[in-house]
Amino acid sequence: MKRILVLTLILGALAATGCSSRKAAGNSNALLIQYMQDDSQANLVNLSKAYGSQLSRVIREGRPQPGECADYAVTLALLNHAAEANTWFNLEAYYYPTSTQYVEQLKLDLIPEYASDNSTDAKDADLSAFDSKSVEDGSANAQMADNNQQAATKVKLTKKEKKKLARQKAKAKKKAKHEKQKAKKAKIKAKKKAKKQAAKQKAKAQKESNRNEE
Amino acid sequence: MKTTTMKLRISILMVILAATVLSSCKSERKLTYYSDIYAEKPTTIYVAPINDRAARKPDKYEKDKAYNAEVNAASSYFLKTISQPLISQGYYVIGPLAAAQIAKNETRTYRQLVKTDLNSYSADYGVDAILFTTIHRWKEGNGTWTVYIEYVLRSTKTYAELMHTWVEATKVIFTDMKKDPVPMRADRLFAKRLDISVGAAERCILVNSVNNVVLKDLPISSSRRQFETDQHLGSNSAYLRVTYNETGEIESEPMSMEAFEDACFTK
Repeated sequence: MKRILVLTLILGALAATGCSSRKAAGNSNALLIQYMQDDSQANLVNLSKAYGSQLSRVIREGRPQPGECADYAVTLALLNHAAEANTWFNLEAYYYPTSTQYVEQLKLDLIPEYASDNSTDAKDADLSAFDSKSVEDGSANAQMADNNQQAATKVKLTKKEKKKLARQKAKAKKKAKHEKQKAKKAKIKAKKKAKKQAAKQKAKAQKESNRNEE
Repeated sequence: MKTTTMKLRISILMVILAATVLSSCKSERKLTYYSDIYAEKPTTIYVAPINDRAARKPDKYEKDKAYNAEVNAASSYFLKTISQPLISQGYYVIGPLAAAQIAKNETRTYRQLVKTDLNSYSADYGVDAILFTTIHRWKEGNGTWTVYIEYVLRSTKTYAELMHTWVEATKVIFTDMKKDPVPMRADRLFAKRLDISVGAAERCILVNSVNNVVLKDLPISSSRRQFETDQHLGSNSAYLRVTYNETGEIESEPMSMEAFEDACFTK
């Protein structure tokens, strides 16, 4: 009975976490529709926050959809968060190299000071540190923008995320070791095969020379 | 003798029936209908701002606030959901906000864009094709909502029309004994999730269905391994009738150009 109760609680928690990303997507869709109908500053800020929280979750689990990072970068650029916008533009180009050309053009239009900054370290930047709650009009809170930029260099992970990361690292290490052993075996096999073939050819050549002598 | 002629007649009839059935299902193979897409292999698509000829401007229609909100919300949602079926086919689609920024740099009108050279998009933004969409009209009546939409996909390099589809999409409105509209549970949940009215939600669901029917018919992109494996499949016809019935099922069938123009452009 206790086991069944624990199982149902775990399943319920899993279902709730699954629903939250869908809720976030629904929220960003609703906010996008609101912004497209009324492009006020308040709607832009809300949309940017929704994109930020949705993307920081998505990127930890996998790859974002085409255009998502660029759209978030556009909202950040319009809110005068140029450094963060540059990071997200670079992420879009990192995940989808086919987007490089229009991303560069948008950077030229919106954040020209970062036009040549294509640092690939964007992928390693801590995305959870982008405090989506503090996204406001950059002209009023330049200090907040600087704090966000400094916080982006620190790594903050929860215990669960640390365990997951450790498991992923161990798995990747095991896979690399297995592939190394496989490559070594293939090399040894190829060497043996080459030796056998060389010996065969030598024997053949010797037979022919013996025949000629006769 | 009589039996042989009878047999011959029956077999001829069967052949004619089979031919009509086969021809009515789908118009052409994808290899023929989308031959330009298979030749040019576009991968990056830019969705141009919607030419919403059915837009309800508040200053013009002051009193119909609810109706205006419904129609305009559907137009916004149409633009938001247009990318998903293209992404599922393997195309890279520029997001709506980035696309809006690109559109700000464009000085040509919609009509001029559709007719003139699009090489600048290929040179400046790396775009292979532009999707132009026009919402011509919304119609209500006989327990249904109907929308008329036109899709044009043009190459930015050769200016060829890669796809041109006209759609008449109808959603059946469920009514009670008093003939008042009764929203389906799915519509109410959708409206709650997007924080819009149920009427707007129903229109949004309809335009989303149309996007799926039209754009998922495009060939799989050349960026996927499955490229060219769907050449033998049938394609949509140029004029399409899509029906979203009470049970939530979507049915599509070809229609004639005359029937479409008669319904869409006449009062």
